Amino acid sequence: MRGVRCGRSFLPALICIVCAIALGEIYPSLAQAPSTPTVMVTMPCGKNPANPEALNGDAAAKNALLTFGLPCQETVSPNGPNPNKTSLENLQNGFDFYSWLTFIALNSPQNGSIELANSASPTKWEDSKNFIQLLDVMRPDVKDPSKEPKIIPPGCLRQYKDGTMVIKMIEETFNEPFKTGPLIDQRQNYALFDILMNKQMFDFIVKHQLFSQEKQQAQPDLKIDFPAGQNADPSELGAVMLKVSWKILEADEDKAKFHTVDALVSMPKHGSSEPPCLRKTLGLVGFHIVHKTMSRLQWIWTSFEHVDNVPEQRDVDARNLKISYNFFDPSCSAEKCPVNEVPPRPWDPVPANELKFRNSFNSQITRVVPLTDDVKDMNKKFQAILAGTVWKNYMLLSTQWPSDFFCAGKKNPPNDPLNPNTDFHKQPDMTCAPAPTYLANSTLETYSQGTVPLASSSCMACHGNATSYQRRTDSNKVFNQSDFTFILEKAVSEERN
Amino acid sequence: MNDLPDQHDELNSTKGVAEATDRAEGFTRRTIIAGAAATAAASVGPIDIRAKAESADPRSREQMVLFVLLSAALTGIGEAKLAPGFGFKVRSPTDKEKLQNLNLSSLADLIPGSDPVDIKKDYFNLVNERRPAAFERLLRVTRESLNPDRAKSIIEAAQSDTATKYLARSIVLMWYLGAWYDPDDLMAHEKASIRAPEEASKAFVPFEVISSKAYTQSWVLRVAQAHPMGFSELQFGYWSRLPNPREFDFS
Repeated sequence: MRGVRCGRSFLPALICIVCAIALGEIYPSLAQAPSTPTVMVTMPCGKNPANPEALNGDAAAKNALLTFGLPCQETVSPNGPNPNKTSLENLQNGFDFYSWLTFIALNSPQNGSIELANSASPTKWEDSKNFIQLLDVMRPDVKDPSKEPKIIPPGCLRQYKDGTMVIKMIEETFNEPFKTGPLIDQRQNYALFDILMNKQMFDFIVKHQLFSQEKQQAQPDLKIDFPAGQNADPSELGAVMLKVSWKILEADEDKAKFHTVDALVSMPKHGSSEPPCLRKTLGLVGFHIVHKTMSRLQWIWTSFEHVDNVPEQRDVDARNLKISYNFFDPSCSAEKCPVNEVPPRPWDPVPANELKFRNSFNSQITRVVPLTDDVKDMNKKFQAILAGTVWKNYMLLSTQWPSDFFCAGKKNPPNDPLNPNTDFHKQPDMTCAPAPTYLANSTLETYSQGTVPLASSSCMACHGNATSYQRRTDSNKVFNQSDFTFILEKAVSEERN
Repeated sequence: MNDLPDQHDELNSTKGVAEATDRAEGFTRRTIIAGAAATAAASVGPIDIRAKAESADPRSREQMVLFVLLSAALTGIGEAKLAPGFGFKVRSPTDKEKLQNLNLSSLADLIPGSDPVDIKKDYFNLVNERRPAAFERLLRVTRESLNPDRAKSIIEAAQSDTATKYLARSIVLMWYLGAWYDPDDLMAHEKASIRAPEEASKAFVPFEVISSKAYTQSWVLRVAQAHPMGFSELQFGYWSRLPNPREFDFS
């Protein structure tokens, strides 16, 4: 789920990633988990019960916000909540409110309200019934991933218990989109990244066997069109993707500030020995939520971060800094620690160093585009009602949404053929005017922050370029769009079996 | 301005007075008291006293809505394409029909857009700065043309006055090319074309690219399903498809 704005020149990088998968570099050896297949379930959803004014309401209204659950679809208006604001500001406010509701619902514990959660309480999205990790979908070893138990690297089997999170250290686990580099924390550990999807997305992939490169190629006319959430149907949440970033928490670090998981990290294979499997406590530092809805077929792109990740650049300039950050050292001068620079190469982990970067480098990251005053205000209100939980330490950066209303909900007729070889009847720019134009998470699009057209991170502008392995057989040999997700490019070749 | 001959002839005619008004620096800005401006104008030439205190208000929601309606009529590109988010405050499935049959009473129900690029605002301010009186008149014409055949009415009314006629052309070029062509230059070029077509066809009509944002937002290449050099939001693989007019609806 790359947020970077990708130019055509990134194609070689994508091909390399896909080739790496196809050549087996990420699947050194595999084993089945000692468990039965997980049956995924549809998470319930509903229509937003209230607009952002509920944040100013009484305890009952606030409690309703914490327990509402997932919105099926955004409920926004250009006219409010503040008639003195512009329609863009009011709509943005509505989307940001939707984002917070979604964040709370997904991060609520598997049973009960988020108010009852402690920092290590497993969340709903960490329950494999609700969300499945990408590498458990794109599998080279099975014909139908929905009927197979979870895949566990052999090195991790001894430590694995049912439900343990396993993160496989492929390049995309430590290298940011388009190989722009790893993010290294103040303890010189790699930040780790993972991608997950919900049942609706998984079912579409399984139904059409899109986990296989060959099956994709055999269906050149299949429109990649994931289900969309709609308020009219509370059973239809629509497709949801997550991309998360983790910081490795060492023994002396304050774990109470983070949502944590006890995870197994399967290291890359080096030589002939089995790759080691490391047990680590991980702290959540970044959280992308991407949700397709009937009125926003370009999906809605939400991004959260831990409040202590990085300072805004203007805070650095004003020396208005906290004592410490996850990815910034306030005691290091700009001359000695230039900001937002990628680590020195090589970037891949060294087995002997485990998850430490190979030299003493640690990233010095600042937020280039500051949060708006409106989103800061909303964060304060939600953080206040989350006081007493670990979730008060997380903040919304923004929500990117397609602002061209007519364009955003436009869909081609169901029986219309795939012609002229593109998925939807859109205007040439089918991103439909993303708002805000740029959006980057300091842990997930670290090196592409900014406001430079075609270079800085824009969720929709980048993902609008995503394609599948489908290839037209007629004279117009074109790429098929894959509905704003790069996930299908991770499909594995059956030739590996 | 170019140096083609007789370019000011029409400015001295009745139809050209608003153009002259706009050109009279300092006399026509809304900040000038009308009486003082009238006194000053009398000493420098033909001035449309009625027009000189008139200009559009960029803070007015209604005037921005009118500018989008005007621009859509002139360019043939839909309002919500020019200004994403343009539409009724309360959306309904019949919005397209309602917009087609817009009348004065429903003008208050429209919002001028909600996109973050907001190029319409830049264009509004530019035209209002360069030609306030003629611009105000075009907005007024738009307001008076809210009937089922709105585009035709607006174009006919704009054509009936020299100042609005050439400003309307400047506005069309602005949306399509992201560049400002001065109405005087367009008028002079047209006159020259009539007088000496071959020579005029080789003449350069001066223009200025309005901004880097305007360059990326220009419509001529979007309509052609192409993109300006150095900036593209077309999908990956677009180069392998032939342009297909059927697929792309600009209304």
